[in-house]
Amino acid sequence: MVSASEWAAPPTRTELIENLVSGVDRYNPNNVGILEDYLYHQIRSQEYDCLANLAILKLYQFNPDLYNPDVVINILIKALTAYPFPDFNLCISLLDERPFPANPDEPDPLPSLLPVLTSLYNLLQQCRFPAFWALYRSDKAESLRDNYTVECVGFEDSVREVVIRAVTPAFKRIGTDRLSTYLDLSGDDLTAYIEKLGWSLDAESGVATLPLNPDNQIVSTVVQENIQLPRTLKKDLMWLHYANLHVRADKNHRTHTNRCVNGTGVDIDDPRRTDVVIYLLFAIPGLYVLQHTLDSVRIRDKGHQSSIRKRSSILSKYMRIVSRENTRI
Amino acid sequence: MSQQRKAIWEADLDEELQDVDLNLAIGSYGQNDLYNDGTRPASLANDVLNRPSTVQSRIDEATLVAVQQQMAQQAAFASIPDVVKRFIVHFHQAVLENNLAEITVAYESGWNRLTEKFYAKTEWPEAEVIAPLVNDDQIFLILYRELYYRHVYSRLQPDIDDRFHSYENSCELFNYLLNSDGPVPLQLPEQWLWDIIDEFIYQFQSFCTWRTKVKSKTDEELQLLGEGNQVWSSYSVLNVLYSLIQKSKINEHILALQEGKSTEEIAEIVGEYGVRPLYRMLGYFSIIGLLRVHSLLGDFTLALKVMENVELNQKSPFTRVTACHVTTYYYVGFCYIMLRRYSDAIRAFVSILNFILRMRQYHTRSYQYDQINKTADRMYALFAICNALSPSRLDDNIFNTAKERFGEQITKMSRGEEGIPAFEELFIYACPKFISANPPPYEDPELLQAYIDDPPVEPIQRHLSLFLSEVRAQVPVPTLRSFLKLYTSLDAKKLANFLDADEEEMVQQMMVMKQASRSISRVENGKGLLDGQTISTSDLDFVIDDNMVHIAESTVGRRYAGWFIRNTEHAQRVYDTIKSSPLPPRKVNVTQTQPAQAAPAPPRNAGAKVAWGGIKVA
Repeated sequence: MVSASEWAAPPTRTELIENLVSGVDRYNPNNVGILEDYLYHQIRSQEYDCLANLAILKLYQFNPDLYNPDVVINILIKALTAYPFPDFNLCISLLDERPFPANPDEPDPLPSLLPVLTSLYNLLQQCRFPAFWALYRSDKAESLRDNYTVECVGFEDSVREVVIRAVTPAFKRIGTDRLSTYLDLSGDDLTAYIEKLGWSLDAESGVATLPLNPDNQIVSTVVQENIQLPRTLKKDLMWLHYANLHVRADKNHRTHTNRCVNGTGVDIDDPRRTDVVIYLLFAIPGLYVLQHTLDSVRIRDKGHQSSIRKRSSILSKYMRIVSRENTRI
Repeated sequence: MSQQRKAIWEADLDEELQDVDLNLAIGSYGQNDLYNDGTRPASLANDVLNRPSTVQSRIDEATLVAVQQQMAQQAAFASIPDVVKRFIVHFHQAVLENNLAEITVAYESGWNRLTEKFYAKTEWPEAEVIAPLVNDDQIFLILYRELYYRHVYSRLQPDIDDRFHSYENSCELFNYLLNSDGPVPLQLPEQWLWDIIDEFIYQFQSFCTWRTKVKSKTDEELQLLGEGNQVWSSYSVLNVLYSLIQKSKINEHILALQEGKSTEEIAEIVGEYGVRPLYRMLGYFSIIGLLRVHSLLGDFTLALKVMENVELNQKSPFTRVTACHVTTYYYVGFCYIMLRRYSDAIRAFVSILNFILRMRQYHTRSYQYDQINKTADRMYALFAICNALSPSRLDDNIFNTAKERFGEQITKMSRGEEGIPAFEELFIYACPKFISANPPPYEDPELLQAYIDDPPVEPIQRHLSLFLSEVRAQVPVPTLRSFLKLYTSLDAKKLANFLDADEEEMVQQMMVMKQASRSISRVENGKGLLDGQTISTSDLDFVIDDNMVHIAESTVGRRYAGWFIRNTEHAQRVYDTIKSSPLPPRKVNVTQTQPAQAAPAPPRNAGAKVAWGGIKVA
């Protein structure tokens, strides 16, 4: 698949268009002609620039009198073959309901063509390519074919590119019968197309082999977390960490406990503060582990993990007690 | 508004001067080159801030009642409670002195307290009534009206006059900020500046929604709407936002910050406007405002494009206003959904929802707490949607909260076709209030009748159906997924049999599943919010080898860090509370520690400074 930067700013976009797309001049109705010309240039030369076309629709949205159905249809045709980018729906989003009924002298072709275009788009979305071709070649789409897509250079090939974008990640090898229905090509045309893609074709079995790509090689992996703590948070936790080490060293030794808890500013000898001490004893082992976990050391060995779990459960139980106490205070 | 009314009074004294006065009043800030700084297309300038022609027609009627009005105003003034009068005087004084601390107090607490007490169900006194209290200070009266209308919108039902006048007042305010000779010396708290932009867009959105409801309009309203269609036009709203962005050179400012330029260099780049906090913040908030307006209008690409230079992180100096921060992520996340970039949306929601959880203890007291909570709830719903479409285990904590709130819908959404109503329900609950760019044809009664007979699809329905079309395309994925999970390889025909489906159709569905598991997503060092690369978003991967399906599953190791971080933060909070809570009364029998009683506090407060070795142990 392509990267989004090319989609947001195709290399074929000229500076004039870039200024219109990125600046406030995009709102000036006088510029609609430039953008429309650019659209017809895209139609003729197999280029595509979604953002520039959206800018046209934006101008139509704000200035209903500029509305030109042929332009809208051509934009939608171009957007159709951009799948899997959601361009088609992005364009429809901007098509506000027309507040004024169409001029009776010039019937608006959009209302009758829009359902066809939408159905075609839905079929592409669902990868139902044979059904797409069937609908596209049917009578329903006749006016679309005869009046619009015939002008759009390489339209059918761009649909095939959509197909290839769907097939490439999903297949390692694909039968030519199947591919033929997807691409609406057969015989020599199909062989030539497969060759052009650089896929190798086994004529005997009728199976094409796709070159490896990042999406059609599958591997099972185990994802491990690896989190870096922001420096400030680490610093904040430092005193708790010290306290923890002392408490761990000899839990029953009054002096050390006293000392470490003093670091927190709590008078441990005050019987009214036992809650804090209990809290520290229980809560801080969690922090000790946290330090090790989060200094980007992954937890690998199993023994360590089980002890963490045990502590976690004690800790979480205690957390509930503390928070209950806390609300009482 | 005040100028208009003044014209009325003068007209009352001298009937013949009425027209002249009115024209002067209009001319002084009507058609001239407001906002037009040369680079703007003509259409924008013309659209902007045109005073609605409705003013004219209402004058005559107003003239007749002017006398009564004046008397009524005196009565109104007399009926203002003294405490409110004092408040207004203080408030005015604080604004005059640019005393940010005092303004903040008046703005955030004084106003709200007095609203609760005296104006919970009625308007504040009109600006004209309190004008004598503030020496008729026009700037303060504009600010006062800003609050006055915001109160009307949030507590009461704004009528058409309120809607038109609040628009005029916003225009006067922005006019003053943008078209005075040079930057204005005013200073306002950041929160207020955000609220100004936020409210401006809210009123725009509210007006757009209100005007589409043609049937319920009275004749007078129909007439006014037919005449005044420049009021709250999309162009004028966008123009204000773009003007603020350009005046403040905020984009240049952000870029300079990212390049690590020094304060002096930045000051040079951003010019006389941009160096002032007032303009800088208004500029930044306007970018967020554009994000919002474009989203409301359905232009999700452009919405993200205007955010091009803004870095989404919590370290930026612009994130001090929580409400702004939350709004930003909500709209960015929503736009990503509409661009079918669910993983980016999930990332945005997770990051802001965690932020809200952490901030909870600080903003519970804020008057915006409710608003933030409501937005957070909607983001949980959007998160649930994204997670159904692109299951990930980015944050179990957020997922669990989402499950608590929307558990039923989450279960339904994993059930293919049956789940569509659940998607619909959550989407409607959580999406922005979409608007149409153009009003119904009020100026043409015939067209208007046609509009009433055959009303167009509401914008929200249009966006909903587009979203559902994406959802529908993915319908077969959850079922396929649950089957594939059971195997490492199997024949396509066999799988089709299990699913009771045609083999070819099933293979096509497999391609849908593959595409659904790939998404464009932002990567590190990417430029702007639209940039990104294709990534894999699913833990279940497969490939079809002719007719054989091979499956590989990735597992995620148990995650500890998030759990510990949360509990550590919880621990820290509990500890802080314990530490700061008052000591319980000392029991009489504890006599040995008596000497320490004199100073229980100092060791606690000074504790952090005590050196480890320096303690004298008894």
